[in-house]
Amino acid sequence: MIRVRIRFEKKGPVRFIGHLDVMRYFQKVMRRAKIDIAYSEGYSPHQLMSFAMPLSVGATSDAEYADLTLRSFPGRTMDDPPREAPDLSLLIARLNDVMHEGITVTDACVLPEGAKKAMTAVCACGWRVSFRPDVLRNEDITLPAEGSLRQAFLAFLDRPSIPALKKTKAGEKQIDLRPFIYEADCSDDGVFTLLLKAGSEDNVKPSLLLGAFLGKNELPPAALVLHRTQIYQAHPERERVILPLIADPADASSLKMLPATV
Amino acid sequence: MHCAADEHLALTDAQLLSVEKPERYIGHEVHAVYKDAGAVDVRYCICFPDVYDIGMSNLAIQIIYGMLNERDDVWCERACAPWTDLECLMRKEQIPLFALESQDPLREFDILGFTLQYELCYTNVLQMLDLARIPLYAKDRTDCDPLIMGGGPCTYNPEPVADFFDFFYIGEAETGFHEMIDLYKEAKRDGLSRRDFLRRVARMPGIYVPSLYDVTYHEDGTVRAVTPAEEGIPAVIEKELVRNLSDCYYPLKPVVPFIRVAQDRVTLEILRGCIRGCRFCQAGQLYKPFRERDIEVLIRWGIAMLENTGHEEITLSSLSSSDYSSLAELVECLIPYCNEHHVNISLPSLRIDAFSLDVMRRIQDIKKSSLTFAPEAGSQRLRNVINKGLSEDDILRGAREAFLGGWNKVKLYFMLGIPTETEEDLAGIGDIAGKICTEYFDHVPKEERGGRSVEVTASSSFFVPKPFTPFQWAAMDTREMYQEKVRIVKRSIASQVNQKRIRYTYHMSDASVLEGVFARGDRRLSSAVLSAYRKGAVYDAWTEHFDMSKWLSAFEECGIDPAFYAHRERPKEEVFPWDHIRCGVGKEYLYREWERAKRGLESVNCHDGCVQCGAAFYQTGCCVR
Repeated sequence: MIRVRIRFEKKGPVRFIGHLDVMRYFQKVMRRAKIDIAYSEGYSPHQLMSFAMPLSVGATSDAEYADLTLRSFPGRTMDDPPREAPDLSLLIARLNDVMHEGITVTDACVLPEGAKKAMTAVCACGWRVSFRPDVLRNEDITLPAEGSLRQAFLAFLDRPSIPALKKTKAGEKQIDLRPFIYEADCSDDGVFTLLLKAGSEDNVKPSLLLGAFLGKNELPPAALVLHRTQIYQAHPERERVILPLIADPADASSLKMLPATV
Repeated sequence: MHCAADEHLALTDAQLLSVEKPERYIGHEVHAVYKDAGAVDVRYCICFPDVYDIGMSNLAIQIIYGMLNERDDVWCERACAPWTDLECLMRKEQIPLFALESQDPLREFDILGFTLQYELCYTNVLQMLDLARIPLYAKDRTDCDPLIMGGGPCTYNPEPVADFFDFFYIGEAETGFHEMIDLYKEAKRDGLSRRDFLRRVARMPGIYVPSLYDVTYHEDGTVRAVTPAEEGIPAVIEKELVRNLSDCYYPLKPVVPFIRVAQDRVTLEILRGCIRGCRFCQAGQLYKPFRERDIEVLIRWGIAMLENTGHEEITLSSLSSSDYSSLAELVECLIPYCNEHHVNISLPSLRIDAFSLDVMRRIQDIKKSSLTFAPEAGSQRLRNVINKGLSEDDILRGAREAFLGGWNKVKLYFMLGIPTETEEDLAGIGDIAGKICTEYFDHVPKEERGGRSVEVTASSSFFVPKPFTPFQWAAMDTREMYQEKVRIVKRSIASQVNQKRIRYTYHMSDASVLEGVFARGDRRLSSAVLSAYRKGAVYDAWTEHFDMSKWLSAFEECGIDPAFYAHRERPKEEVFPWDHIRCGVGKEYLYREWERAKRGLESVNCHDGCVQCGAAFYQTGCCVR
């Protein structure tokens, strides 16, 4: 068995496909591409495939990730000795041949033995976000005056704590978002660039942070134009350093330092 | 893979995010076809008058879509009825109904082809036309409007919706669609008026242009005659039929929806028609004669479709799969591929016997699956009336073999309201369910039950007499009679020793009565469909939306007595509103069968003999064996 991680983009009209349907879509892709993916044991075997993080319906992304467990590589059989590194470009090409435009595999890597699943490794997400003013208007939410958005946002970030009401399975809880904002900025034309904590604990959604910025609870999905730029994991050795779910830890250009307060 | 250069969507992101399942409205599924609208001669849109999840499960849509898009001169797109949340939004924000691929308004198309699968979708046809801003009545449309065409099983009696359609295509699409499109292309090139095109297309086999026929009535309200209004228009319309199923178009690259639709699998149609002469069954008569596909073709197509779609299930589809002559061999040939690729095979409409149990054991998970029997009626007498050809012994033996094979769940389907039905017949439903339980307890020793017990579910629906069946003369039961019948069945189940192992479910009767009105209705019903639609009736096939009171007030407003259509037994000589349409089986044969039914006499099936039904006219399938 070989564990492989793939990175893919999600763009265009397929942005409206929900997470469960993206999973079903990939299961069908594996069959169409004749990928020798492994199945679970038991009564109803399913493909061994897991995704790093759901993406909201309507959001686009440069970098989504899925882990696959393969029985063999395209072009090689299970019995071939794993002497040399498998040809990942062949796998990527095979997938993209049957992939829908809008969803494209852009990279892949073989996971080392014992590597964490993408799902558990996630520690942060990069976002590019802007408001949909017409939707906010319908919700009776007013934006800071034109030209003052950036200033207002920077002032908001300067607060020592940013309380927000987070909906969880158990109900609502009050949390402080401030320590989970790793990077945040806003351009003059209203595009927010965010690096927020993500994962199974203290996952911060842009809609929660920007809701707090406007003095509201979490914003409705339609209020934001959401684009995920990257999903990050912790550096295997260095404290407060993160890198994308597919990246070379030795390649300094792909690393990001977290603020000292973390 | 085709690419959509333009990512334009008819709805804004905010609109899409405000409705349930926005994936229903964006197109772009795998194998959806994109073309340059300016580079084709004909823009056709298949319209399905129900929600996307149902529409995209329909085989006919996939066939027509694939077949027309093989042509360079046609771009065939799809549109389904918007769910009520989007419908509301479209009205509020004045968004016209659009096609899934180009997202262009339907008004811009040449032809809109509606598929009419069931009578309760009629208000949705109006909903779609209305949202598309196309005049609802054919007579109000001008040369600027698309042609509105209808096809599918309901068009064998299209009269209740005749006023809304410019023309109907009656029968199987594979034979005459291309010719019809060619004729349209020519007419468009020559600048023919709408009226002149309809005059021309009306001469084509299988085409019915209702506006070119006059209907006259007797004083008692029954039809006197349906006659062509002009010279040269055929008096009788024969259905179109594929002679060789192994040599006709089949969609090997069907559209693969993103959402889980009702039929989320490869549909491999192994045969058309049916050898059985069940007297209640309209499909069995409409699609005669029985025609099989070659096994080599089916294996090749099945595997190609699995590879092209990536589906994890393939269903071998037909009206009665057990009648396919090489079924064992077909399954045998598919099993290795399916096992290797983790694909399930499903075989609906199987007769339960040793052979089918063996097949099912090999392709399904016994623990999860239940076995389905369709005795349809509770007594042997009544099963003879409907010519089901299934004895109590067959059912009990099938159940016993299934229990010994490890199954413990059995589903039973029945109909209430079959002509000549008595209290005794109804009580038979409880008896047979009880006897099945007894088979289980008698033949499966306690130690082999694994902590489980037998579970029998009996379901009943209300029988609706349909055109082109021997019961087309019969009176349908009223709602009150149905309710009484349900009580009798409940009592008979409650009186069984094993009644705790039996569950009984039944459908509500109002919708069935409405279905009964439209099934055998005439042209005068169009006004009631429109009136009910104006009162807000839509999605009548959905229990949560169906509202009989809207229909009752619509009937009243239009001076229509629904009982005249549903609850009246017809005399032998009555002219039916659909008599000018021919599906192969003759009215004389159907009447012979109606008489035999009333006397409780069975008739042979096409395998064992010929009942001279008339389908031999088509000189194919089992008629020439």
